[in-house]
Amino acid sequence: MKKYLRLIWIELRKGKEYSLNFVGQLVNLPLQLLIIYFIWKFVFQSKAAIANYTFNDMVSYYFLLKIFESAIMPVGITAYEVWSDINQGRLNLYLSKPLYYPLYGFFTKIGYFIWGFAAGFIFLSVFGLIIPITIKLSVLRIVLSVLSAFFGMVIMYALFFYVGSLTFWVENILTLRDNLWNVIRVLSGQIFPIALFPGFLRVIAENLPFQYIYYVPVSILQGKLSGSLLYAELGKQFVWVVGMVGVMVLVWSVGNKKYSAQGG
Amino acid sequence: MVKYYSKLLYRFMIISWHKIKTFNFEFVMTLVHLIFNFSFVLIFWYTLLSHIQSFGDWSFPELALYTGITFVGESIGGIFFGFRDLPYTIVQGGLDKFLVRPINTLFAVLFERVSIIYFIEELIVSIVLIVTIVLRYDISINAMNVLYSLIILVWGVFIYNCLYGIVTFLAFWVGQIEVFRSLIFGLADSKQYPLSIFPEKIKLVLTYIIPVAFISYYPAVIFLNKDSLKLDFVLKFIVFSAIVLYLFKLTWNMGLTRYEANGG
Repeated sequence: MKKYLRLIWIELRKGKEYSLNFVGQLVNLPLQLLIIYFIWKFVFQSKAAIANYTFNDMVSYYFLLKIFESAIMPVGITAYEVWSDINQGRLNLYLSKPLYYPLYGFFTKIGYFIWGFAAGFIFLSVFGLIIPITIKLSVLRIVLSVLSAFFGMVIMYALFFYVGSLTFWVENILTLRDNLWNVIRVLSGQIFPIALFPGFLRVIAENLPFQYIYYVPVSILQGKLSGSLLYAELGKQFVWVVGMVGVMVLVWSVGNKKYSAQGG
Repeated sequence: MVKYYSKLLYRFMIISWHKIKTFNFEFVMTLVHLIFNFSFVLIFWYTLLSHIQSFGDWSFPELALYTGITFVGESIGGIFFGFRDLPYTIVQGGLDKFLVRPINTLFAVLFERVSIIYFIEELIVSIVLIVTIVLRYDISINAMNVLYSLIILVWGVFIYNCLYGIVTFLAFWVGQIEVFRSLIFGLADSKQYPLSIFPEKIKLVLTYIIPVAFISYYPAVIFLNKDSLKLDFVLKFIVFSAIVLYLFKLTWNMGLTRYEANGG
């Protein structure tokens, strides 16, 4: 385990790389949020609340969503990494080391998670001074929300790892990966809070694991989930995490046997 | 000259087709990806309009049509896809190989990597969507408006991408320009939403500084007969286009004289 924890430390020390990402984020986020702000300002001119969301709730939902995206989204690179490691024969390097490849990949992503949150909250503090929104935070909600986001990251990692592992069977998985991004975008609450979805779409979203990537962690932080409902959702999320990690282990062990690297 | 470049374009299309067809799985996924891209925006409008009666003076069929027109513009804009990686090519000295070829450098840069087939697919799907909506919702249109709308859209896409090109060419002087370019063109996300929802100052920016309105809003309102073509609008657009084209040619030519690649 020590070697994997060491990986987190190495990733954290790559601070310069993350700082460049942070600058890119600082540049893009205000414009995205500005467009969101104007859209919802327009929508809420005629209504006080939509599906229990006021204008303030809605704007702060997207605001928090952007922070969670900065922490979790980088995990999406997993599919590309697995694809290129298998296709270019680099997997040999990892197989010959005393490392479990899926675990190795996961621990290298924890650095992104920590830096993403740190950058996101700095951004929240600065941008909150410009856009007038109110978010009532409590220590317990922050802790549970970060825990839920961590589980969300595991789910996201597992999904992209599945896609990357398909390289054992098909040669190119990159557009499938893009399609996974698209499914996540719809069903994780990146377009809308899931509570706003019409009946059939909400039923689909509420019965799949994607909502646990963004919607549930953000809803916990916003206080939309509380009491027994909150703990029930965390419990369900944990069950998904265990199940998906199990499938990941299985896919890896089956696919691994098909791997061959040629050349000299 | 025209025959020569048409032949070249045809060859690039054949290469693009072969690239896609090499991986059959990837070919299917590309189509799925396209359908997803359309679905998002339609889900967005469908969900929103299930909570409010209309979005300003826009109904769901009109917004769906608006989406179709925006995607037609995006597919035409696919021709300029090569601008995306041009700063990297310039910084790495990769422009050499284009400069030594006996064809127009810009033409070669733009068409070498573009997935022409993907954009043709996108164009076809967009047109099918528009026709379906017009027939399904019995939207009245007239041929002249469709023609004007198409002219503005094609010209708007051309001018918008020339502006994008001007900012991209700054890479000849400053190297990596991507973050700055994202800052300027981050506003392009607003093309999915009718211009009428934004405050006046933003509308001016989206019309005359980053002309996003010409690749979605104006073609749509003219197509739907929500607005007519006014002489002062046409004149302003012509003057704006002339300035952009002049600057495009100037920055490209000056950039080329400044370009140098080191190494052996």
